Amino acid sequence: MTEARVNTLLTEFFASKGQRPISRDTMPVREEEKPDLAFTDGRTTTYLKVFDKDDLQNRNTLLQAALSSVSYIPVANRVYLALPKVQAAILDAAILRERGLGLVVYDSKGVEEVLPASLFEHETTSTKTNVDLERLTSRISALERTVETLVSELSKIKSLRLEQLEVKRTRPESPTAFEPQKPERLPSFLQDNPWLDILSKRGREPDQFAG
Amino acid sequence: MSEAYKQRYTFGMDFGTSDFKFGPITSGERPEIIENRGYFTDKTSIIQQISGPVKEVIVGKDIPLYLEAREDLSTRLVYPMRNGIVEKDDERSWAVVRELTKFALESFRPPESEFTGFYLVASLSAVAPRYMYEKLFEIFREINSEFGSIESATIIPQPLSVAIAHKIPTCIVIESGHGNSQTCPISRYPIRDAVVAINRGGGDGNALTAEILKDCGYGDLVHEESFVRKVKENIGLVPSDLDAAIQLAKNDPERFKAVYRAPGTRITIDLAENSWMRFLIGEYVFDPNHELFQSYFSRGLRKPGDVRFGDTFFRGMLDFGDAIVEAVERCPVELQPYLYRQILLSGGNFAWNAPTELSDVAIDAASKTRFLLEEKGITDPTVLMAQSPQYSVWRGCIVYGYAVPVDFSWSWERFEGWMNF
Repeated sequence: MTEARVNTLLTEFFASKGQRPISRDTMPVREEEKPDLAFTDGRTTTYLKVFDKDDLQNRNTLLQAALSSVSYIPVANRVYLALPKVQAAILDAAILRERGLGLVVYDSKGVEEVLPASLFEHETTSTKTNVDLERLTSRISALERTVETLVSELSKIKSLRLEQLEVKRTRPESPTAFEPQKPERLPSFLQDNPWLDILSKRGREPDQFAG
Repeated sequence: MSEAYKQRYTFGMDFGTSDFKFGPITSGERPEIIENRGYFTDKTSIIQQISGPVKEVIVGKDIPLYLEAREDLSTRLVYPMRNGIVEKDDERSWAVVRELTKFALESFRPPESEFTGFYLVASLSAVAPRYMYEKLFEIFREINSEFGSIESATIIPQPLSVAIAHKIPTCIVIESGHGNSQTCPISRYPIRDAVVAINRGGGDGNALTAEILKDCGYGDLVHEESFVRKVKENIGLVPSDLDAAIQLAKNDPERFKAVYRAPGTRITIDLAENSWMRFLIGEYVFDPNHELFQSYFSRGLRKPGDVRFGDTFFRGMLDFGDAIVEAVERCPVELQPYLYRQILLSGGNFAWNAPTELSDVAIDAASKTRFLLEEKGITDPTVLMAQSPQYSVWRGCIVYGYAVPVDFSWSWERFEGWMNF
């Protein structure tokens, strides 16, 4: 059975339980930690580790896969191993139950849930994350509005300042403001000027007659 | 206060005879320039009373908005440094200096919270007497009390600023402005005892030009000095040898024809067969001793006299060559050859045209000064024109403020250091 066919069967199975697939792009884990398939019912998430025959060539591979699926627990609310029906017999379901992992088996006829996965109580985390995201979104929106207001105010101030400068040009009560430019480098008359050395010693050399 | 703070907030002010140049180190290569003058408003004027209270003294680019077509305009418009020196009791001139200083500092007040005042370097004429220093420090102190804009201040002579701006530690600077000229030897310090002051400047060239215009039938135009100055700048020439130049010009008046058309007017000045007189203008500035000038003196041209301003004696008829030699010979003998190697000409009175088609007789200020020195036996002197003469004093102020240590306190013996407020 092809991988695509297996994925289709599993997707149909979880869809019948009210779960829709989650795009890999939106999974909040690193690329190497992402499950083979993931579903959500809108409130909880379910991650799957899918094996095919090749993966079960030896027990070590199975063990490795089981361990990696455990790593989904802190992120997902339910975690399942999905095995070909013919290979399920070699697995001790008690170990999976102890870890809270679920088991589904599949063959060409369909998918069957052998062991339901435990519900890990971090719905609140997910909810909290969503709430936090909403709050952040709200705060960013507020900041954007503030920045827009500031830009508008700054623009008004600039135009007012220009008007005031115009007034100053015709009203000498206050001097015209010259904007000093910060030099990016020293002016030419300061560069390589031997007087810099001479003058920097003023007060630190024996008295000389200045005339 | 730290060196870094001082270097960030160094501020330069050049109280020139005509213009006031100012700005902080952040101004870059050029300072702000306004005219060194102030206008005293008429407080009894109905217009002034209607438009509300205004300052007693107006400075800066707004002055034209206040000028009134009145006969007493000349008394209301005060140029405090016309001769480089402000009389001790000239309250109106000091009021203008105060207003200019305040205007300059407030124009550049930085917004930073760390700012507690500028390190202000002001530059005065080399012949400014001690009371001018005292009065200027007093003004700085008052302004700081009122506005908190001066952390420390110092005052340096303009020739020193010019030498600093031109990166020359040993030289002799000749500064020639509107009212007078000064030759000041410098060897890491201004050698004040060797300063030679001359009671002759650009204004005297204007006066002779006015006499020439009268002789040529343009007497009705000589009452506006700014116009006469334009004529001087456009037709005046400096001769390498006055007698030879006059001879050539009289023989070939067409070649030396002096014509000036005033832009935007119908006025045209044409000296015609008297075009040789254009050489008198340039010669007079450098050396007024030729016998030809006697006739002008006898007909009313003010002869530059010997006068005393403050502690300084100004010589009227000393030519620039003699002034340089006299200043140099007041310095140690060992130093003298070095001074003749770097002679720096600064100030608007040295800005003369030397048309290439007349290069056989008309020369620039540096060449004229060199000829005058060679006549007196100085061999191979090096004479340079100051670059960007309008800005060089201000630039020297900035370098001075940037480099002199913050903990070097003002000394009345040395006339240098920082006066802390």
